[in-house]
Amino acid sequence: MSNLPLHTRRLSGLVNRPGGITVSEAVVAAEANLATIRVRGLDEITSTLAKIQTIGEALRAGPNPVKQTELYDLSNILVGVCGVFGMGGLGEVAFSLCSLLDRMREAGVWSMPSVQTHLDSLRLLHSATLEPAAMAAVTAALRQVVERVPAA
Amino acid sequence: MSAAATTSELDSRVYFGALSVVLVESNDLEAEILTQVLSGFKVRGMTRFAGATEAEAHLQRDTADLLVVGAARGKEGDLDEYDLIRRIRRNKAGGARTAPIILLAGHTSQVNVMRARDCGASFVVAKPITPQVLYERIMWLAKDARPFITADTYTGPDRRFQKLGPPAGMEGRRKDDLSLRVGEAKAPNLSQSEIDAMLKGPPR
Repeated sequence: MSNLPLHTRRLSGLVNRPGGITVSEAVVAAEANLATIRVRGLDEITSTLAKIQTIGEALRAGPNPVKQTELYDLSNILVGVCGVFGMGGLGEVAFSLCSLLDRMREAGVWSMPSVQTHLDSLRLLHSATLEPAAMAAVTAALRQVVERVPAA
Repeated sequence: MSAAATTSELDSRVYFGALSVVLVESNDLEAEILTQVLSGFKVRGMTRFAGATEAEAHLQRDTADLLVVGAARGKEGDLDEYDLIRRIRRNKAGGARTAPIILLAGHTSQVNVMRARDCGASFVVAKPITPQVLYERIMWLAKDARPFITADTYTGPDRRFQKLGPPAGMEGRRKDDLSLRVGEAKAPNLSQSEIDAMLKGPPR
């Protein structure tokens, strides 16, 4: 520990105090804690998806930078929470939607059909669990949709 | 950058009870996820902020042993997470200038990854977080041997995880970087037979 730089030494000293828990005990306890907020998590995923679909409806009238930012932020929330509650596929589609929105913003272009494909995929994955092969096909197809947007 | 735990680390006990952890996350559910994970690790000292402004004010008067920073733009006027970390690193009077900072990144676009690398975060963890990964990253930071860099354009842990030397043709900036100029040899070159003897050992 004495060879560690000063900024590391404090954290190292604190976690290496006697007592404590093993990694498996820590992980099991953390996962048990997460299970207590699962219902809330799933409810919030549902309400976030509803907000995303509402913004999607509004964007059919044409591009709107404020709405596009809101859509990006809400999708980014899904990236952070879906996987925690066993909805990793939904999180992957949300990540793809973030990539699409980011790429279109950078390139100064807008494609509602590309956005709509993502919105439809979100709706599908919220109501059904796909087999890994089917999920891989969905993410591969969405990647192609994203890559069709020219890089800035 | 490998942060996976070894077998002996899996068996060893770690005490998180004395840590003072500052959490910054504007989304309430994501903040709750972090709180539940850290509570599972038996962290007792957690202070949670929904935005950069409150977190920065707290860190102006208090210290922290570890910061976990997600989305920091909780309300109008808040800095984003990258600028918050940059400000924490540059604030010489602040209580967390050199503290380990884990940045939690959602959509990791190339631009965001570059910003994360350059803002002074100690480690970037892609969301969604898992207890296993967060545990491993904290333990990695408790062994982080990288020097802390204070320069005009960057303040934070050395961004180079590997000791590969400076880029080709450039003078190094680290104290222990070797010079580009190679001095005169101090002894005559070894002959081929001397090299062979060193590699094979003496003839029997």
